[in-house]
Amino acid sequence: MIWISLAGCWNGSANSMPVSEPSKQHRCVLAVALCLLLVACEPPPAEPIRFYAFGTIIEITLPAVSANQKAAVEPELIAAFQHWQQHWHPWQAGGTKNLAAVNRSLKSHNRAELDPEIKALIDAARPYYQESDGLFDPAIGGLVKLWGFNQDKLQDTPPTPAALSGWLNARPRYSDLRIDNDRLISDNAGLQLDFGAFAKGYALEQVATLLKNNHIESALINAGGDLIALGRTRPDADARAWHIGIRHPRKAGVLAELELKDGEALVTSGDYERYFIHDRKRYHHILDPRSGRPADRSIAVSVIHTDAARADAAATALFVAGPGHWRAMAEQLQIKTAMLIDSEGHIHLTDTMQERLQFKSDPAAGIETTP
Amino acid sequence: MTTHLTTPGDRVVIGLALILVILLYGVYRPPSASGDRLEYSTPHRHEILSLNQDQILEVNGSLGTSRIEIRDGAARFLDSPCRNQYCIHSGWLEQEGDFAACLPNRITLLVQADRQQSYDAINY
Repeated sequence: MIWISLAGCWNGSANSMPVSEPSKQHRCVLAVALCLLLVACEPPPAEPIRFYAFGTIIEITLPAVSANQKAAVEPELIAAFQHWQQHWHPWQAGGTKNLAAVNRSLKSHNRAELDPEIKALIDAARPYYQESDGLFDPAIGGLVKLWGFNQDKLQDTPPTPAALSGWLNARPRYSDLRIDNDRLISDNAGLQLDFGAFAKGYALEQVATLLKNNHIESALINAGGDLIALGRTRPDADARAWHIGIRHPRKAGVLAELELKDGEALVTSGDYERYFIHDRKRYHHILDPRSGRPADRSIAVSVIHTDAARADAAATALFVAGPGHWRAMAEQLQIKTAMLIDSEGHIHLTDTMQERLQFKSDPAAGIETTP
Repeated sequence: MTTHLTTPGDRVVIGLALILVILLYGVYRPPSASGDRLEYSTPHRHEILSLNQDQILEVNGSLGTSRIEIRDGAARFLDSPCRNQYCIHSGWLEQEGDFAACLPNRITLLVQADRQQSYDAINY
């Protein structure tokens, strides 16, 4: 019926109708309105690619790819993460060219043959060790192991004072490592590598490159809460920037929200990620290489930068630097957009971060802290 | 003499079209349309559930089974095999963006609201 009636728009038959009948223009308006009504629903957001790697959930949202393109790139993404997980894990058994093999060889011979990928990882982290004055130091693998943060199931007591003193006396540093013709040489017998404060950011950078090489310009890559954004949420003119919530460090919900722009990474280091409570004190996984103990003047640091690897290393270094020194450390690491929440619950912001964040409550009031 | 915008037949068809759209929306809408939905992720699966349907879920994570309760438009960890039980102490998640995780068991819960306003991701 309606098709016959509306057909008058196109065949001009309305001209012959009596004046009480709808005019040609009216019919066109009706047709357009009905079409708009029927197509008004926004297409559902693309279903992200999800899998498990690096001990966390990886979620990659690709809003502007066809089903075929997604099917083609998904195995490549999963394979890349699985490879990195196997290659960069510091302790797992097996393998001869991975980081675990390097650690075993360093422990027994103070030297190790280097696979090109591990060499690239070691080289990539070195500038951040230097710029952070050693507050970000991947050479603390032995310390991480002493505290048990290398295991899925955490221990419930701190290491003994004697064990901590032993590590501090040896005090391995990244600067104790030399590379000589694809051979890694350690000048410190206690040196073990752990890139836990760097690997996810480094991987995010590589995934972004992988997607760009596949001509994918819009994506949100989420590696256990660490993020990098490409493009916007949609390829068309209605696209908006990626809308991100930053988790409240002490209770359920979001502390603040912001829009993440094309090419930006947002990385947060928090004392709530891996920790245990002993005698009502929280012992978390972000260790201060100077004391050998968890850095206790910060509870969370968030960093935005266009280089996810730098953001990841910097989040750790700023956390360890604490509220008294984090601004100077941010400058050293070329970080302009950052937030630190100190152990008293006070929120510290760089000017550019203050401009970007929308808080759920007045940031000047700080947050309540509990152990 | 009056000019009518539509014929009676057109009005009937428009009415039917409106009813059809409403019915299809009711059938195909996401669970969030009424306001709230729960997204949970585990190493093995990701699912979106309506917060308007009371239930207790048993969800398998890395360490074992966590139980998640959905009641009266809110969700919480009811039980989890982790040592410190901080996921349980997170309490009820109700508002958009409310988030809790059992990191040892690799299970995350996130309350999302209307798709137009929800977060694309939570940074933590």
